[in-house]
Amino acid sequence: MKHNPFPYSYWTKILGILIIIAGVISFFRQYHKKGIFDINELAIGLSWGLVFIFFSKERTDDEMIHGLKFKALTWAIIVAFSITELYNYLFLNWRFKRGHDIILSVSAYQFLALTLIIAIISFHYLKHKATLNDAE
Amino acid sequence: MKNLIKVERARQNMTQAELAEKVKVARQTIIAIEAGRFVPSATLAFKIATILNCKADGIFELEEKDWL
Repeated sequence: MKHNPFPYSYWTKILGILIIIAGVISFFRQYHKKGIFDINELAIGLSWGLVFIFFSKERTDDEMIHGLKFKALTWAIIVAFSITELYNYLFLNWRFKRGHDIILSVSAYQFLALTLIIAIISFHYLKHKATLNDAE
Repeated sequence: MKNLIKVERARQNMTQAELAEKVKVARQTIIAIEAGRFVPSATLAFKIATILNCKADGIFELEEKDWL
């Protein structure tokens, strides 16, 4: 019985990349139009794109890949949540001198984007580490 | 968990890529299993044993640390 926990096909990664590109373009268009860096605009594109990239099947998908992805995601959530908590604590509770364009709390989109960036980096690192120096 | 996949593979003159293709996993997975960096599921262990014409407990062996 073959069970794959990742719902999207490998080619969905291309859709993810296109969404990220659209998000980046939208971010710069907002800057040129209004003169503000809308990080949330960027985070929306990034988070949607990264969801399709991370939760799609790999070119060769097997139980080791599933295990590594789960491990990477577990660590990413812990690390991203700690960073989010620390950032929110520092900027909401401490009386730092706040710049005009500094975001004061991390939104759900930014948290998801940060989590998935960390998850993707750690997944590729774990995959590289698992197969290091032993190839025939 | 220790395993003798590399030895059995060499005995049968089979490459990592050939074994990977027969058990339908990536070659990197076979590399990781041989190096002891990934412990396969029971299903995959039995598939590997079947392809190598061995018993699963003839290829995979528990180590002291597996009991901790």
